[in-house]
Amino acid sequence: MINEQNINEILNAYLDEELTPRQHNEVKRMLDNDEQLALRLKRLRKTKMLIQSMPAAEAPPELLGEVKNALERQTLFEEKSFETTVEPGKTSLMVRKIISAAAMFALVAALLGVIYTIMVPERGSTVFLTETWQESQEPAQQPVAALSEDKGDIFKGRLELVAVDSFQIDAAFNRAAAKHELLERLASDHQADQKKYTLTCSPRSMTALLVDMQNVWGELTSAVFHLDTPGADSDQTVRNILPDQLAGIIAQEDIESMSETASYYAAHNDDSGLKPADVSPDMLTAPKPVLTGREDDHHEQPMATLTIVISPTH
Amino acid sequence: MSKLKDNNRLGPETANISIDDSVLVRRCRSGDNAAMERLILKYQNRIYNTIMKICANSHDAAELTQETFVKVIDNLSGFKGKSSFYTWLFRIAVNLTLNHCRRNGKLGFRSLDAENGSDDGRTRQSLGDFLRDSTEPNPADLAQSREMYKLIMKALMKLDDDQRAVVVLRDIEDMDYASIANVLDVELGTVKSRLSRARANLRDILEAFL
Repeated sequence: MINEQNINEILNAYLDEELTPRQHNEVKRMLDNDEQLALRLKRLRKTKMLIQSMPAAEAPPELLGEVKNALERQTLFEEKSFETTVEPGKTSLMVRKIISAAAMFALVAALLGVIYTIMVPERGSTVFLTETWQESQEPAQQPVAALSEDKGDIFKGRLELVAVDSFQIDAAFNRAAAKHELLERLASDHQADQKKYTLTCSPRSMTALLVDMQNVWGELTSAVFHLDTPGADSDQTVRNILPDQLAGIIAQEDIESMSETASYYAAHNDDSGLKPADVSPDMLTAPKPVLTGREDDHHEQPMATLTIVISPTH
Repeated sequence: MSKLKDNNRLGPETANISIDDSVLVRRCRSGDNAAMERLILKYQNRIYNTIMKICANSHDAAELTQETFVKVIDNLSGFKGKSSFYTWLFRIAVNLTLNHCRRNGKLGFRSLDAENGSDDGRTRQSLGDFLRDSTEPNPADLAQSREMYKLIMKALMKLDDDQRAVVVLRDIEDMDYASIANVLDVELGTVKSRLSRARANLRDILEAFL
C-alpha cells in the first residue's frame, strides 16, 4: 500500500532520475493523469532548483599550499619524534626485559626456597635425595641391631624403670614412641611381666621421648641408668635418674663426657637421696626438642641406643 | 621518509589531461608529489563547496577542507579501493564536517542570522514569486543575489545535519543515491526517506520566510 511518505519518495526518485525506466514510465503516466501529483512534483522541483542554483563556493587559493605545509610539518614531526624516541624506547624496552627476567628468577628462587624449607627443613637437598633413595631401598622393618652397628653408636645405655603399675609406664612409653614415630626403631623382647625395649634413634629423638615420659616419672619406685662405657671395667650407674639428667648425658659429644656427666649425676642423686617418686614436674627441666621431620631424616647424626626395661615392683 | 617526494612530476603539458583517480592514487602512494597535487586540485573546490554548504562558515570550511586532504593523504596507504576514491574522499569530508557541526552547534546558522539585517524584503518577495509563480522564472538568476543566497543557506541550516548533508550531496554535488548511501554509510532506503523529508521540510521552511 502506498502512503504519503512513499509517494514523496517516489516523486523525489522520479525527479532525481533514480527510478528504473519502467518505474519512470509508470510515474509519468500517473503524473499525466493526476494534477495534484503533478503540482507536488513541481514544488519539489522548484525546491531542488533553488538549492542547485546556489553559486558554488571556491576553495581558497592558498589551500593546496596549506595542505602541503601541513603534510610537511606532520612528516617532520613524525621523523623528529622517531629520532628522539627510538633509542630511549629500545633502551627502556631492554631494561624492562632484564628487570622482568630478574624478577622471574627471583620469584622462582623464592618459590624453590619455600619448597625446600617445607620438604627439607634442616638438611641439604643432596642428602635428602640420597637418603630418600636409601630409604626406598631399605625394608620397612629393618632390625634395630643392624642399624646401630652400621651407624657407629656413640651412646649406649640401659634404663631400668620399676613401678607398682608397670603397665602405666609401659603404656606411656609406647605412646611417646608412637608420638615421635619411633615405633619402627623399637625392638621389644618381653619376658613374663617384664617389658624390654631397645630403641636406636638420634639423641634428639631420644631426649624428646624421655621428656614426654616425665609425667609418669613420679609413678616410678626406681629409675636406674647404666651407661655402657667401652674399655672400662664396669658400666657407669646412675640411680634415681631423672629424664633431664638422662637427656644431659645423651647430649654429650663423646663417651668420656657422657661418663663424666653420669658420674656427676650418680654422686648427686646418691647424696640427695631423692627417689623418683619425690620428683615434681618443676624439677624436670630438660628442653623439649621440636621435631619437624621423621626419624629417618636423621641418619647422618650419631645414633643413640637405649635399652629400657620396665618391671613391676615386687 | 617524506610523503612529498618530487619524483615523476607531471609536466604542464599533462595538467589538463583527465587522469583516472586510481592512477593518481597509485602514484601518490609511491610518493609522487605531483600526483598528490593533482588529486587535491581536482577535488578541492567540490570538497570545499560541499563543506561550505553543510557548515555555512567559510573559515571552518577552509580548515575542514585542509584537514580532509591531510587525512586522505595520510591514510592513502590504507585505502583498499572497495569504494571509489571519490566516495572515500567525500566520506572523510562529510564525517569531519558533521562531527564539527555536532561539536559546535549551529554556529553557521547564527552567523547567517547576524547578517540578516540587510534584507529589504525584496528578496523574500522574489522567493515567493518563484515558489508560487507557475511561469517558473530562471532560478539561476534568482539565486545570484547575495541576499537570496543567504536566505537559502539559512533555510538549509534549519535542517537537521543529516538531512542537510543528503540534500547537499544530491542537489549540490549531484551525487547519485547509491554514492550518497556509501558516503554516509547508510542504507539506500534511508537516503530516499531522508531526502524526501529534507526537501519537504526545506519547502516548508522557505515558505515560512515569506
